[in-house]
Amino acid sequence: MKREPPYQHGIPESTSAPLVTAFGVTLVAAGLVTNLWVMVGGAVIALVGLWQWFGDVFPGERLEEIPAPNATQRRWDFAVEAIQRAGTRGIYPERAHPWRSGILGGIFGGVAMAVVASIWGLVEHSSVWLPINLLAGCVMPSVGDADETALALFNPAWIGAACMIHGALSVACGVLYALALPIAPQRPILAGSVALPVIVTGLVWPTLTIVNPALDGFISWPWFVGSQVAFGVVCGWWVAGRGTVEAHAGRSIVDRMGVHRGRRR
Amino acid sequence: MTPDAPQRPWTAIVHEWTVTVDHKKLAIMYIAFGLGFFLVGGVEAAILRAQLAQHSGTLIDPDTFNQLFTMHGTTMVFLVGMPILLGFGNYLIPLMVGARDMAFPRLNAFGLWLFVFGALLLYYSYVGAEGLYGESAAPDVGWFAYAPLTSRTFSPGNSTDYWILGIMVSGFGSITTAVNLVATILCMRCPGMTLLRMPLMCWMMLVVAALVLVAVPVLTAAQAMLLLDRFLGAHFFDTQGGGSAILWQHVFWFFGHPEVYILVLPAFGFLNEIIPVFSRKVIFGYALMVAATLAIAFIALAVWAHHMFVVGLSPELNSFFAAMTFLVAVPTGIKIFTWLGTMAGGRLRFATPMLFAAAFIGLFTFGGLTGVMLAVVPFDWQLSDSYFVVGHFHFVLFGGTVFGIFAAIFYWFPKVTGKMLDERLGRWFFWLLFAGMFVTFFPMHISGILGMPRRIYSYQPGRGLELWNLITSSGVLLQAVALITFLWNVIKSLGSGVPAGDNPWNAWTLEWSTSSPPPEWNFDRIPRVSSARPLWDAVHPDDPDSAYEEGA
Repeated sequence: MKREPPYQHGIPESTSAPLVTAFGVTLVAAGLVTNLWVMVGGAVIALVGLWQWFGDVFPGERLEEIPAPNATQRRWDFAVEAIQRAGTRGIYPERAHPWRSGILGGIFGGVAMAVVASIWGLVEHSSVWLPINLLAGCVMPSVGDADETALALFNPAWIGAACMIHGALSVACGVLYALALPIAPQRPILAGSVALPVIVTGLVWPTLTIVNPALDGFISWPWFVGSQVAFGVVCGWWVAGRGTVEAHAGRSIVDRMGVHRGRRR
Repeated sequence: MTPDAPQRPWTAIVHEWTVTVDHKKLAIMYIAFGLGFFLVGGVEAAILRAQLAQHSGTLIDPDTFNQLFTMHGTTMVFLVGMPILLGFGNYLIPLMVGARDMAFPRLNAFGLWLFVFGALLLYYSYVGAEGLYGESAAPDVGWFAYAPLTSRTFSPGNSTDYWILGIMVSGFGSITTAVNLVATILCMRCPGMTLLRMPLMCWMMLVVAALVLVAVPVLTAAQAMLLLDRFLGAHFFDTQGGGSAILWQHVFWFFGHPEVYILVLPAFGFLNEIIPVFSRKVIFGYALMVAATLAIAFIALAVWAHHMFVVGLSPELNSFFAAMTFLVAVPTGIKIFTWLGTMAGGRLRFATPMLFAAAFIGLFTFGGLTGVMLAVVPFDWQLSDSYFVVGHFHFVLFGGTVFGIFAAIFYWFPKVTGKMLDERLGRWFFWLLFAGMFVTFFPMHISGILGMPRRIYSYQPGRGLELWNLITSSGVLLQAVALITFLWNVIKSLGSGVPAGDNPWNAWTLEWSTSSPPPEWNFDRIPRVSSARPLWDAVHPDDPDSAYEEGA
């Protein structure tokens, strides 16, 4: 897809929107040390400025035409040429996986991950609930105070919290897979099952004591990596198998919304 | 405008400049406001020095003294250095990369006006704030506003809040400008301009913008925490409430030390353009200079606690930060040798820009060496918070940044205005400022070694400080005369300066290929380049630089 470089044929039109918006923002700050109404007035002015700003760029950017190149040549004009091609430095994938496949891939990958974690719970702690309860420690401080016996039992509140965390993260990761796989190296399942677990484990390892001290006390890193790999393989397999659709990343929001562009001056 | 063109009403001119999104006009306003605040900060410093010219001075009261050194430091860092340097970036980067404007022109204007309004909000404190000593109280907590001095207990009223909010608003402006610079440099280079064909100035500004994006949000976050402490009773920096006063020092200096490089790297960029042109040689070690800049940026993020050696950090931390500070001298030294290598064997022409650039090398090296001395922890324990430190950072920031700025003003003034600055007045200005700078700041090292603390309102006689303080204060007079010379030069040259032509210095980068001043759209045609010195290639088609590039 060919794109024109910015301001090849025009330059942005003058506007007071930035000035007005900046003034409003400053008044919002000043309201803290003067009067509440200064803050309210500033917010109104800032909104007016933003609205004007929005109008300056949507649906089409307000541009001023620039004159045709001067016929008088400067002595070094032979070194400059008109652009022969509408080049762009942005590199976008032309096709991408649909985000819906990412959601489903995330769900399936999340199930696979949970299965591995449950096996670890059964093998090493004789409880499928323990890994789930430990995950709840991210948001429920009471998990950190519980002993292993309590962690091995079914606890509806902890399991509910863990399912919400696991579900949300799995879906989010699945969607990221769908978006990222087209720009990953050749073998998406390999990238998903090896590269991502390594990255995630690297991120979790130094932060786990802060994010989830309870899990940090029990975690088995080989099993943790194994569960990540399970997620990556299943999610990558699902997403890669769903095919691709045309990507829109290289198109402007106006084009994507189908709004007529006609405000050029 | 031709002589026959009708005179426009001043209101139309004001309107044109307030609604403009043209990067060149915005940059000129950045620099003009910055120079305006330079005069304000200079007057504040002059009053401080008048108070200290003699022992037991009573020119101003201690409260005013505290406000003046706070506003002087804050003004010079946030309202002079940042806007002028970002202003130069704003003006030059699109021209140097062959673009018609910055990537986000409206955001560019937004950044400028945030800076202006933030500055006005800070100075409004002189009228609207209340402080420890009553109404009309400017901030008085020092430019780095250490906790717990900024707590409600020690800083009642709202003068400190004005400091927080003014800097915060201006800081948002700096962040938007940094975003713009990064996007412009990475995405809007003209065809043929690879990263390693960019003028080194673009590399410096790219690194500076990255440092702004890393460092300034940290300060903004710290200021937000301080606001929470002051308005909502949080205890981030309240030791008695479970917080930590040292935490403020950590977060402030995590911003504050990269800020030093934010203030000096653009000046490095100016030298990278000026020294080759006035030596008639290609820069010696382009890739080395880029690598050294990147190294400085990374190391600069890991030296902040050398400002905190006296708070009682562990020996391991002291050792680490001392070592990192020594380390940053290595890439900085590479730069010094790179400039010297460029000058060596060149056909040197000491016009005013080159005079400032050459002086920069000596003065900055001196300031850097005293910085290395302060990185020695036991030495720092003796001289921390003394006038030695004040002398050190003024050699770096005045001898470095300010001299770099004036080098740039004399170099690019012809491009911006179409008129040459008067060379004779320029030389007078240089020598007066050089002498004034040395007379002012060198004796500070000695008074510091003799035991004079910084920020002290007065001092007793008989401690050997009188002479050095008198010399320091007299240097301010030289600087004042120098600045009057400069202002007269600008006014005179704008009115009756010699027309500059497009490329008065016979330089090689793209900004000199367009008219002086450039049209609003910069280039009639978007340039296409094939080496780092496109104008050299254009003038010497028989021996272009591109022929020597790898793979050519």
